[in-house]
Amino acid sequence: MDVSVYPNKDVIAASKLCVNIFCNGETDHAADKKYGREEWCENNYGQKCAEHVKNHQSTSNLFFKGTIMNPTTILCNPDGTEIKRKVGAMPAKDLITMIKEAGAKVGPGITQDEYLFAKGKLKVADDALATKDTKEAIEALNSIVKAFAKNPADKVLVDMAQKKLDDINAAGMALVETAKADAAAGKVEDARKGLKEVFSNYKGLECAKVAEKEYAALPKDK
Amino acid sequence: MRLTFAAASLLAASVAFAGDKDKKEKPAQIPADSIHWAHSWEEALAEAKERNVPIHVAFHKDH
Repeated sequence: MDVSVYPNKDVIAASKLCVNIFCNGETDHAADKKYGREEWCENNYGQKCAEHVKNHQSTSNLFFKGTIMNPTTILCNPDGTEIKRKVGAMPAKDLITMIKEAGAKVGPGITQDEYLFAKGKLKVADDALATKDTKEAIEALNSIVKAFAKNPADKVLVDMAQKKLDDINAAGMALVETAKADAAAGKVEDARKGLKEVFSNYKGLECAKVAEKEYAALPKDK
Repeated sequence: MRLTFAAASLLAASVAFAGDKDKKEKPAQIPADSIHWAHSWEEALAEAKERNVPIHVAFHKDH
């Protein structure tokens, strides 16, 4: 199957509708090959040989009592309970049917492309926040909300992004409060600086609107 | 003049070499034309739960 089925373009497309795990327990497998900075199994890009051996060890007891038949294809629910299995090789179209039937039973779900896009943007947001680049973080998170707001199956991605946006908004609101306290204490320049930072870098969030309003209410420069 | 040219050539060669090195050290991407395999059973469970999709478990041996 690794030669004729897994590289099949329709199987690859169907594989994006589920999470795939490859379990091969052979310890005399060829050594990992170098790809750029990474070392991966020569048969499974993106996976080390030690990983598919470990996968075999951690899953074989879950699905077999005694002899492990190779190849065996198993489709499971997200909690790992079995839906269907097929022992022996099978043509690409049968694997695609198995995946689609399992997807219909479990779903609707998030496709791999959508998931990887959202995870990538969440990482961009986290990295931007770590370097205090609030603007870039908000842009990355808003791109998730914009891309997935219409599909109910993607709600979990939208919720993840929205939660982070809410946290950023709360941080912006705290800065606004600090600026208001500065203004009340007569430190108008500090207040002006703080509010400007919020409405410049937190655009699109409620805190930016509040900051702009507070800024306009500050005493004018003489 | 000749010395300047030699120095410039050396600099260009160094830059080219550094470029090659950078190229080799870039993180590899999983090709779009291959199945994306999870790194562990725990990772597969967590991702399937988050995405609400089935898990495809492939038991396999080399030829």
